[in-house]
Amino acid sequence: MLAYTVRRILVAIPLLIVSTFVVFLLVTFSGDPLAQLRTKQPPPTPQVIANYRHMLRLDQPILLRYWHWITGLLHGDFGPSVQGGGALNIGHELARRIVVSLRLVIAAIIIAMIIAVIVGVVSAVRQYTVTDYFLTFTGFLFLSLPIFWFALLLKEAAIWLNVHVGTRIQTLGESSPTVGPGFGNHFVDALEHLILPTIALALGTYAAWSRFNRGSMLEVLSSDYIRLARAKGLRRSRVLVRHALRTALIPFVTVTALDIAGLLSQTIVTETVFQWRGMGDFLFSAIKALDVYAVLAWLLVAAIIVIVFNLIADLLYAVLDPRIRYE
Amino acid sequence: MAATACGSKGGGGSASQGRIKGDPNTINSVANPKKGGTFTYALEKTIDNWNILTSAGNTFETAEVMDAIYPSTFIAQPDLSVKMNDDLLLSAEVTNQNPETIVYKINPKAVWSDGVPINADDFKYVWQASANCKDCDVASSVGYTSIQSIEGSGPNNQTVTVTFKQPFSDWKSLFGPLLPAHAATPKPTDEQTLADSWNHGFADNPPKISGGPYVISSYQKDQSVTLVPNPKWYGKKGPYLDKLVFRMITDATQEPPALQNHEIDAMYPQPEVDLIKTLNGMKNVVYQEDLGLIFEHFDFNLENKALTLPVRQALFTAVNRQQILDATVKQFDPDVTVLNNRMFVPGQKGYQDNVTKYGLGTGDIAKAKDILTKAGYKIENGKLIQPDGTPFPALTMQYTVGNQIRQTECQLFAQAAKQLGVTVNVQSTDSLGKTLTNADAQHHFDVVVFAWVATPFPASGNAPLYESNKARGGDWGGNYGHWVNSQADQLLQDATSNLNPDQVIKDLNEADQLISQDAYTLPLYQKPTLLAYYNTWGNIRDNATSVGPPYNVQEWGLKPSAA
Repeated sequence: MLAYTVRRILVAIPLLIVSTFVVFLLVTFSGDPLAQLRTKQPPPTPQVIANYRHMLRLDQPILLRYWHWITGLLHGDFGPSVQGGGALNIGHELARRIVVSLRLVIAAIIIAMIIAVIVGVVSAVRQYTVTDYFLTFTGFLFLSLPIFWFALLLKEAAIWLNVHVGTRIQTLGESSPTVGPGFGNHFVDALEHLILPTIALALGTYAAWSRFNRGSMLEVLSSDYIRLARAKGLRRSRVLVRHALRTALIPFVTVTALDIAGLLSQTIVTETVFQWRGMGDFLFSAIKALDVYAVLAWLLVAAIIVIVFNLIADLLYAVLDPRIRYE
Repeated sequence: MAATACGSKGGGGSASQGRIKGDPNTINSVANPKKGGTFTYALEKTIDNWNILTSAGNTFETAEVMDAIYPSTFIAQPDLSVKMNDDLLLSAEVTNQNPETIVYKINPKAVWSDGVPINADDFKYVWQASANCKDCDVASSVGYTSIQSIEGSGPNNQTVTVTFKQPFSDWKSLFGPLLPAHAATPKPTDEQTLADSWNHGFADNPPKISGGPYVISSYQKDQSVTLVPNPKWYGKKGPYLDKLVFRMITDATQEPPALQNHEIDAMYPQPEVDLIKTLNGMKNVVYQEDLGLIFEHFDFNLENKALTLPVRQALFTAVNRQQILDATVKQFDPDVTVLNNRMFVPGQKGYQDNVTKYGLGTGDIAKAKDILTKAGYKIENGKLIQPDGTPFPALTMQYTVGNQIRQTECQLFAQAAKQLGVTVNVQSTDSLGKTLTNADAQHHFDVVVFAWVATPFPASGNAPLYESNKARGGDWGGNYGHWVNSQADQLLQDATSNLNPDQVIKDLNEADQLISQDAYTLPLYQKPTLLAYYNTWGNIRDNATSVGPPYNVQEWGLKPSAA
C-alpha cells in the first residue's frame, strides 16, 4: 500500500510540472499584467512601470521566468504578485485562503455524503414507492439547479426571513466585522456564516451522489450473498448496514473523491455569491489582475488537493474492501 | 423612476423614499447627529496597498477609507469646488508670486493619534518621495517636481513654507493626503530607505497612526476595516459614530441584498436600470444620482494614417451623441446631457461648449459626407474610397469586455460610420491598458471608448492626457492616441504654470478647442454616480469627485429622530 502511494505521488510530479508549464504559457500570453497600472490616472511614470516590469521579471525571457518560479517553489517562494504593488505574499495569502475554502468544502462534503447515503439507501430499499419517486424528483431538481442560482435563491430566502420574521441568518462574508471578544463568540459567528454557503454547496452536490448510491445499493441488494444473509434470518438493519451498504460504499467513495475537483470549481461561484475570501475569490481576483504567479499557485494547490483526495479515496477503497490490496 | 419631491424636508433636500435631490453640499445635513451607532459602508474593492500616494494603492476605494485617517490640505466638495481643510489648517496662502511661495499655517491642535504634532516634516516626506526618489512608486509627481524647498518654522514647525522653482497653478492639489513622517519605517535616511518606507512601510499593512477623525481598530483581510474615533481628533466636529465599518463587497450584484439585509448602511455602486428599480422598492432607503467628474469619450488612434483629419471630422460629425445617450445612460438617469468640454464639466468654473461649433457629435450625415467629398473622398457602392482611389480600410473599435453600455455606444458609432461607407468592427478587450498603451506598436485599436476622471485641478490633471511625447520628454503619459499639436503643448504648459486662474481657464479652453478642431477625441457624457443609504443617517451625501462620499466622514451620524 505504501509503495503504491509513493508511486502515485511520483507519477503525479512530472504531470504537475508539465501542466504548470502549459498553464504558465497560457496565462503569460493572455495579457499584460501591467495593463491596469498603465491606465491609471494620472499615468505612472516610465520609471515606475520599469520597476514593476523588473519586479515581475517581465524583462526576462519566458523560460527563465518559468525556471525562477519553479525553483523558487522549492523554498516556498511562489513568485512576485502584481496585486498591491508587490505587497501581496502569494504563499501566505493562499495558505490563508485554503483554510477558508476547505472549511466550506469539508463541511459541504460531510453533509452531502450523509444526505446522499441516507437518500440512496432509502430510495433503494423503497424502490418504486412514493418515497423513492419523491426523493428522485428532489434529487433531480437539485441536480438541475445551477449552483449560483440556487445560492442566490437561498440568500433571497434568508433575507426575506431576516426582514419579515426577524431571524438573523448571515448572508455576507465568512465572519462579521464586529464580533465580541473571545473564542466562543468567533466560533459561533463563523458557524452562522457557514450555514448558507454549506447548504448551497451540499444540496447542489448530494443529488448526484445519492443517485449513484441508490444504483449501487440496488445492485448489491439483488446479489446472492444478500439473499443468503436474509435467508439465514439476519436482521434487516444488520443486512442493510453491515453487508449491503459497506459494499455499495466502495464505488461511491471513489466517485465522491473524484468529484472534489468539481466541488472546488463550484466553490468559486458560492464564494462570490456569499462574498467569502477563499480560494475561489483568490483565483477570480488573480485572473482579473492577470497575476500570473498567483494563478499558477492556485492551480498548483488545486491540483495537489485533487491528488490528495484521490489518494484518500484509494486508501478508503482498500479499507472498505479487504480484497483490494496493493503490494 | 421616482424622483420624489414629497415628504418631509431634511437639510437642504427633499427626503423621502426614493431619489432625493438638493444642494449637493448640504443635502441630508443634520446639525447635531446623535452620538453612537455603527455605520457600515460598502467598498467595491479590497485593499491591496495602503499608501494611496503610490500608483498601486491609488484606488478610489482605498482613498475612501483613508479619508478618515490621513488629512489633506484641500478637499474636493460635492459641488466640485475645492475647499481648504479648516480642521487641519488655519490658512494656506500664496505669499509671493515669483518665486511662487505658499505658506501653510497648521492648526496648533493638529496632532497624529500618537500625540506627535502634524508639521513640516510630513510635508517634506511626501515631497521627497514624490519628487526626489526614483524607486518610489508614486501615483503622481506632478507639481512636486516644481518645488524648490520646504521649510518649517514657528512652534512645533507648524508653519510650512513651500517655495517653487517653477510656478505651479494647481498648488492646492498637493499634500493630499499627508503621511506621518515620524512613523515611516525604515527611517528614510537615504533614497533606498525612503523608497522602502514609501513602497512598503506605509503600503503593506493598515496604518496604526491617524491624523483624521477615526483610527483603524481592526482589519479582517479582504473583508472589512473597522474604525473607531481618534481620541486625539482636533477637528471642529465629530466624530459621532462608535464604529465606522468599511465592508468589502467585490461583486456589485451582492450590494443591494446586503443593504436590504442591513449588513451595510450605504453603498456607492455604478447605477443601472434594475438597481434603481430595486432601490425604489426598499423601505427607508434613499439615493442620490449625481453627475460627477468621470466622463465617457471616443478616441481615435492617430498612428493609423488612414484616419486623416477629414475622416476623423466626418466620423465624429456623423455620430449622434444624443442618440447614444438615449439608448444608454438616460435609461436610468434622465438628467444626463451631452458633454461639450474635455477639461471641465458643468458645475466647474470654466465650463463652456467647445464641441458643438465644430459640428461634432450631431449625427449630421449630410455634413459628414460633404467634409469627405471636399477632401477628395468618394462613396461608391456603399464603400468609402480614398483620394488615391483605394478603398478605406476597415476600422477596429474596442470597448471593455462585459460593459453593455459601451458595447451599445460602439455599435451606434459603427452604424453612423457605415453610412459614410466605413466599416467599423466592434471588438471587446479584457485588457484595456494593453489596448491603449500599444497604440503605436500594434494598432490594437483605431477607435476606442473609455472614461477619464476629470479633476478639480484641471490644468495638472489634463496636461498629461493631451501633451505630446515631445513636451513630456519622450513619455506619452495618458495621450494614448498620440495626438501632437505644438500649440496645445504650449497652452497646457502655460496652464500648469500660470498663477492667474482666469488665464488657466482660457488656456485650457483653447487647448480643448484645438482637440475639437483636430477631431482627436469626442466627449460623450458625465457618468452618473449613485449613493444609496438608509434615511436614518445624517450628513452622508454624494461627492462625485475622486474623493467620494467619505469626504466629510467626521460628520456622519444618526439623525436625532432616528430610533
